[in-house]
Amino acid sequence: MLKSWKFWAVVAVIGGLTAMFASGFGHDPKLVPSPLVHRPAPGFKVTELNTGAPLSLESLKGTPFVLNFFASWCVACRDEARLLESAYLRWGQDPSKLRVIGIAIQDTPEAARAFAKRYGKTYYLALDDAAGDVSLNYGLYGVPETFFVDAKGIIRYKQIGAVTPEVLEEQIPKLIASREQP
Amino acid sequence: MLPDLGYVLLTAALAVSLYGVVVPHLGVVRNNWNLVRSAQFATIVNFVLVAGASAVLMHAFLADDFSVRFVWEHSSSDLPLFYKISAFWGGMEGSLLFWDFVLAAFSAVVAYGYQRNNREVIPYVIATLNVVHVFLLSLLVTYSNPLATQSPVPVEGRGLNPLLQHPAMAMHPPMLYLGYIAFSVPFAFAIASLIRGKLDNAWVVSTRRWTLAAWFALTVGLMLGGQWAYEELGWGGYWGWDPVENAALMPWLTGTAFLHSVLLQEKRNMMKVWNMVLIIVTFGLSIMGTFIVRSGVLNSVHAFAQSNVGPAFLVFLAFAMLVAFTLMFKRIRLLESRHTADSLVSRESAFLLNNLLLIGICFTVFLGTVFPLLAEAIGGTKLSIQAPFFNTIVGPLGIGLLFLIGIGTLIAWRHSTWDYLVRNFRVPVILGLLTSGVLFALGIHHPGALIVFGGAVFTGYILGSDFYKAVRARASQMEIGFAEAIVGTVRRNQQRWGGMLIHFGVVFLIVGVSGNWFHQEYNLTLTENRPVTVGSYKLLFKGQRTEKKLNATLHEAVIEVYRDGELVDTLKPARSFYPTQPEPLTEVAIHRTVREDLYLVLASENQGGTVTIRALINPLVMVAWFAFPLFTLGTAIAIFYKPRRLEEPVTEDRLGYI
Amino acid sequence: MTPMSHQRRLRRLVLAVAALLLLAVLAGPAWGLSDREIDLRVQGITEMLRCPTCQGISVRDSEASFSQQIRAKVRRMVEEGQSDDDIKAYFVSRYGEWILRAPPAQGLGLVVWLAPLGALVLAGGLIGWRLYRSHQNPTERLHQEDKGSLTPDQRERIARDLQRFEEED
Repeated sequence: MLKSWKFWAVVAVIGGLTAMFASGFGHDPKLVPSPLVHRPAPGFKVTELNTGAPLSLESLKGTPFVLNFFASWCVACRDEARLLESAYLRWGQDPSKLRVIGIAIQDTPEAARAFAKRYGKTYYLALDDAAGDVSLNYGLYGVPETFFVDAKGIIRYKQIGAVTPEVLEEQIPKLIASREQP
Repeated sequence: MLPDLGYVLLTAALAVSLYGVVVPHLGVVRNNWNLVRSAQFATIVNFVLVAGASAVLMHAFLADDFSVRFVWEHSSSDLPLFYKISAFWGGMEGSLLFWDFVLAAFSAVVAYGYQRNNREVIPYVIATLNVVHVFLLSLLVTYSNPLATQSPVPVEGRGLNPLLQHPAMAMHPPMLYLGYIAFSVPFAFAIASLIRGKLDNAWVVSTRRWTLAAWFALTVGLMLGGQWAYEELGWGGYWGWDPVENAALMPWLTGTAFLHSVLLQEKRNMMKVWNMVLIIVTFGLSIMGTFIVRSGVLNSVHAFAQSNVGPAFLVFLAFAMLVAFTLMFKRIRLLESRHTADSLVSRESAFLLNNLLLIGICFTVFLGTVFPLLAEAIGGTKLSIQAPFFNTIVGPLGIGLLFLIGIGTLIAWRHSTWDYLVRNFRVPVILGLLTSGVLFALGIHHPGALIVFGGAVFTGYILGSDFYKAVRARASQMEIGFAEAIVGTVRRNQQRWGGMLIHFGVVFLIVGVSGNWFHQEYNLTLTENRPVTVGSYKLLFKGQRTEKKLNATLHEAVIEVYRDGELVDTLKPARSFYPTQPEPLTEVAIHRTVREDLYLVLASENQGGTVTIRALINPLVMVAWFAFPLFTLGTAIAIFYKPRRLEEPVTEDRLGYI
Repeated sequence: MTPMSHQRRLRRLVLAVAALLLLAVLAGPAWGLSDREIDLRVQGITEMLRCPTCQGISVRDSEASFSQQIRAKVRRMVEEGQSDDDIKAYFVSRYGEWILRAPPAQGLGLVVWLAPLGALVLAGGLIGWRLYRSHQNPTERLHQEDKGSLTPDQRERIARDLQRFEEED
């Protein structure tokens, strides 16, 4: 029996399948890596929620930015709301060094404004239109999702789910540093 | 207090199961039948203990005892009685207890019911079943304790997910489990036969009825799941090729193949190695099915929270498969038969082809289900494999099976001559082609549909005429009436005619499923009192209504359905709002006729009093459901027969083929 | 008619024709498609895209908000005249390969599509080969082997049981 190649083939198949299934542990099958990372950020054109001030990708040329997608109805967005605001206060005070932008999706202007007020958001906030142009263009499939874009307009990192202080500490200095790179 | 008692019972059951693994082996080795007898008795003790623990859990549900964490997680005091009972298997811990309870019952039956013909193997049958017990009970007393208590005791339970509050969904898990567990019996006999080196056909013949019952339970479980998906989920289909659906389908496929190829073993002494492989794989797939459902390794509708039983199931699965295949290879000399099919044109070949197609489908389903995992493990990429892949490949194979049923019924054992083929197949082939021709002339040009309908007539005619000829022969031979002849014919060979009914069921199922090729879809906004045409129906929206039903608030759209000017139905598709759920659930409204289902989903209620609905016309759905009574009747006829008693206990392989 | 108004009329005519032509050019891509054709194309494309927030359902079948937005976007792209492949490629570039419900038939995807057929052919071939091989050594050899080891009693029992068996079927 030990000489039979068929036996060892069966053992190999059992072993291989077990290994394959075991590799699935600890992976969340719902987390999908984005093809946009390391690629140029897609274009967008929005207007500010309260003032109506316009903003487009072109106008941000040369400036790194943090683009956060959220919604007033999203539970996890509450967790990260104040974190983003403190990141803005810490790093985003000079708009030529870093911009922090929030876009509410599938929401109404009133609800978005109320959410912003409740969590003390003072940075640039906009509302994606009903057609979801910006969200689809950024391959969104849930909120919150946050994109970290460097000075050359390349997406360095995408955070799926609420941002954590560690992620902000790690990614934002890199974005700011990218301005000096040739 | 009571839950703790239940937990003690489970621990005791674990100890008894361990006894039941070791002692039968000792009894054989020391040639002491008393030891084996004590192990038989131990299965009864085990059953009593597990039944006791189950009774404790059931009592906790019925008494709304929220100190038991599992009850708190899955029940609430306002839950209807039926769902309080079904909440028992509404979560992992309870399902495992249910599994062990049923297995304990089956083990006791098997321990005492097979002593006469299977004395040699019974000790190891008991031991094998107890190994499964040890696995389940170890989980139940450690990670997966359904009787774990919590304090402080909450006032109210979390309630059952409203999606699950549907009669089909309540019965779906127990039916599937019954199937999986029933397949453990032939598996245990197979392992025991391998251990003892007793490799005649006794294990196959003795467990035939278990196999049939297991097949039936799995079939019903799968159909109930499909019915629930159709009526509750609101996307208009009944089978989505979700990983968990596939996990239950795979053992069904190998089980069906096994059901057929054991006939080859009994009649022609062929395929002994293959049958061993099939039953081992079927058992393995049922464990793997539970693993996929419970481990969170694959993305699916059923994705329960990733629990820690995943690794335990994987280890047990790998262990069971390794041991089983090692045993098989050890005894392979005794299994290899010298018989193969004599000719390509024979019933043997039809059986081989049956297995080939079924295993081909199983392989496809398996590949499509695990490939995303494989692709990620090897290449790091995320892929999706969903319905389009499965439908494209499984479709043609299923159609092949449709024709094969007819061919296999008519073709003779060993060899069929060309004359025989022409003589017997002429009429069914002509009828099939005629059907396709007529349908084509009537405007149906879909090639798949033409093939399926023609094939259904071909196979249906063969099945029917086969029975008719036998009845007529008996009626004329014995000079009795037709009705009496029917009863007599069926009784003479219940397995064959029960099988015929089941095959008819398969034909109906395939025809019903092929209705999907013709489904139509409309997205409409309805204004009050303005009729809208959908297919051959006119829909008249009569307004919105709000209704309170038990624990939910329903927002209904009242829609009158007219056909040929007459009011045929009033449908009320709704969205139900439950206090515990953020998003409303869709309540689908269906008007069913044999020809088609009119299926309405309320998509949104708009400002201005209009509603947007999604209307689907799903042809032939009732035809598919009609397979269910055919399966039931066929299985009942096939299963309740007296098995032919083997004249003498058979010992070695050569005489084994009788 | 004065020459002046004649000129003006001519100018107006030219402008009108130019406007019509411009309109035709702008509407051109959607010209070829009727409403029903657009519906069918949208259905076909959305059938192949998976709803990003659901499990196992297509964009076509799902009522989730993202799916509704994707359906509307696909419709706009079809009306603009983009091809099925272009539209699918757009979504793949934003969401990844994962958004397609079945992998395209290249690279790793090709393996998945061909494997079942390959397995069937292999298995069928194996069975066919073994049948062919056993034909070289048919059952006569079997009978010869057994002749020495069966007692007449056993042979009689076999014959009896065989007959009973043939009758059953």
